[in-house]
Amino acid sequence: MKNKRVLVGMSGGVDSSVAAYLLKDQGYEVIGATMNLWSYEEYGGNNENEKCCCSIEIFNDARAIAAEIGIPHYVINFREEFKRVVIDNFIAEYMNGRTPNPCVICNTVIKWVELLKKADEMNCTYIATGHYATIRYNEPASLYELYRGKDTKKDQSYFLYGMTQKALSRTLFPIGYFTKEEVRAIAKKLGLKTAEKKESMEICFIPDNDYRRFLKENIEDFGRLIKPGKMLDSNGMYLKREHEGFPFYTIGQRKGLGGGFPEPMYVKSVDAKSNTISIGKESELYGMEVLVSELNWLSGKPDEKEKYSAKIRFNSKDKQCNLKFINDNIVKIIFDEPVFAVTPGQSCVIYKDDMVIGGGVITE
Amino acid sequence: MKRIYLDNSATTRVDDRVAKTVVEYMIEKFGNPSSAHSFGQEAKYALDDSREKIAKVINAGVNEIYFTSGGTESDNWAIKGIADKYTAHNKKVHVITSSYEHSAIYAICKTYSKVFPNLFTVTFLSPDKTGLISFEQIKNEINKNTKLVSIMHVNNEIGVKNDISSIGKLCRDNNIIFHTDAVQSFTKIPIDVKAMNIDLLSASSHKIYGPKGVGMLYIRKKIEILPNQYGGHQESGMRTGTENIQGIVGFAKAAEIALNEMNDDIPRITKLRNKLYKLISKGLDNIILNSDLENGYGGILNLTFKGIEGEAVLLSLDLEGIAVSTGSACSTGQINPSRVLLSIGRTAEEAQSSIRFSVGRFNTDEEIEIAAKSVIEAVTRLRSMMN
Repeated sequence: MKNKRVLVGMSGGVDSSVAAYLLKDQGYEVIGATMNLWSYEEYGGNNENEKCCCSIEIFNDARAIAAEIGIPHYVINFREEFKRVVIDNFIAEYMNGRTPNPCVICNTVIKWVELLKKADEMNCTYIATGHYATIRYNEPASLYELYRGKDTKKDQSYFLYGMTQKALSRTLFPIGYFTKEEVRAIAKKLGLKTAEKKESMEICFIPDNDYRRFLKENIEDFGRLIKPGKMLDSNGMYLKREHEGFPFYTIGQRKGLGGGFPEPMYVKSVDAKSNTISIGKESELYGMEVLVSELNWLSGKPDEKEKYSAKIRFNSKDKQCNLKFINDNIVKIIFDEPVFAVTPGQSCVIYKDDMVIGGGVITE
Repeated sequence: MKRIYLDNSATTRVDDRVAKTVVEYMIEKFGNPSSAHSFGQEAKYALDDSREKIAKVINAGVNEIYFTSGGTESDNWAIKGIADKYTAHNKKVHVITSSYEHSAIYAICKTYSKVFPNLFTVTFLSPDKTGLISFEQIKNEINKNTKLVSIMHVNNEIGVKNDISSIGKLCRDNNIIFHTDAVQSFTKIPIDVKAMNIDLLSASSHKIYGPKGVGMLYIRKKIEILPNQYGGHQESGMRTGTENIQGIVGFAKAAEIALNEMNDDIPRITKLRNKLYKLISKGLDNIILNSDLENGYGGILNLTFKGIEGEAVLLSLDLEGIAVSTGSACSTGQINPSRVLLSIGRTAEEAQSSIRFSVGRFNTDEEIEIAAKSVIEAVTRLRSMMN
């Protein structure tokens, strides 16, 4: 017997609150769950004025919303898993001179593996979140497909490319069919206390948005491991100035290089082994090709003969491209026009119009 | 959904008779016991009468009962009130307690050993394989600075009962003050502070079908202890501030009822607990009984359901309206394996697979049957997912 019980991940924010409400309204038996992923005591970050994820205030907010909607609510502890899967990877990537995408891993593993397990334990047919994305079932193909959210400005499908067919088949994204304004309006109409809450955009475990501070405080022996190093110019010539340590730089970064250049300079590459960074002019940071590994295809492998679009970071638009498989595990993305600051460690997500085909992690 | 409450060791539903008294003292006899007029007199009489009722439960003198805000305050006071006598004069004080005390004892001892690293030392005894703290263990740890021993009477997680009578005798013989946290046993297991040589005893109202926010510390007359709160004259100047009269009369009423009905209540609760165990163990394999059905408190049943997480059982049951506890998870989802379960031989994994059922006055046969059925179903379903 299939019930219509659904476990909703509730962050205490407006999106997941409205998601929970909508599902209840649609007749589901809704259970709220807030994931306890990390703590200030463990990872630092000044949070005196702001309510932020995984603080007691957030759990209380989520609980209050659940009570207002009239659903049960639980706090579920994933701290150990989060550290092992997300934080350790975040640190390792920076220490390898790459720029990680922790939200992608958190979604893929914490939400759609661990939270799904909890949903099973609680006898839930579905899990739901407040992501701006939609899922459709393609009947002729017997496959679930992931699409961008209706609100293209808020679309979060980029973070979801790691999902599996099984995960898609059991997931509901109730606010994917709404715009942010509509979601806020629903929350306001209901008088939900989080209606006016401000957006959280930063990495949840770095509430002060200072990843350099996070690395310094959370890597043992950081001072010994990370030293100032050489800076190279476009011609591979050493500059007179030093950088502060390679993990503090990410490709495309303009700040922190010291002024006095005749034109704006950007970080072009980061080399962890030699502790050097290369810088160049804006024009030197454009590239046509991107190599992507750790691939996941949501509803089947794409066809090299077809045209796709791809985005190489969350905050940029997808650009037209072709795909060329190097092997089953590596694909080369060939863009129609150059893209700026290809950054190893970031995810490259491939679309066919509004449908997410899949993606992987940029290697170069 | 009809809900079934099997978490009576966490708190209890207030008895209707108690609730009636509490309301009476909020809206009719609401006077301040310190006032000279008739309103005050009513309240003062109620206060004295309450003290007498509470004293009777443990065979204490009326003036040996001090009302507090609950178990935590009483526990804290017992430690601080003794320790401060020594630390204030730069003298050493050693305390012997157990590793499974309520956090109100555990935390204050930890804090004091940090604040007074050279003066305050504490020994945390681990329970033996039966979950008890033995007389010998304590004896071996006594040194010339040992001033206080604090050992709980009934353990809140598995319900085992420490032999506080022997521990009391040992302490009295060695001129050491003995405190016991009797929050789980007060009015449930006979206590005689004189016969058992108890110097300090903590109890709480909301575990005995009384209101929350009130409890007491029994302080034997001969014991010197520093006040817990300074101000007026209330509670003989030891715990000042206008008395929580409606709470105190509610607590006393609850204690009076419990004492009068102990001989009916406890056997009935024990029978229900045993029935719950019988039904669950008939329906499920691979469970471990962590409670002592013979010698422990009759209301607690702690079981390990091998192969699955206790938290998953708790959540599944809650969704069916059945309230139980894992004894280790708090409301923010923190999980640490229970020290007492580890000490009686459970592995960390088994400890995480454990559930505490605590039966109370208002549970019925029918509820136990429904709960057992739901437990069997939930555990069977969760186990089938693991394969």
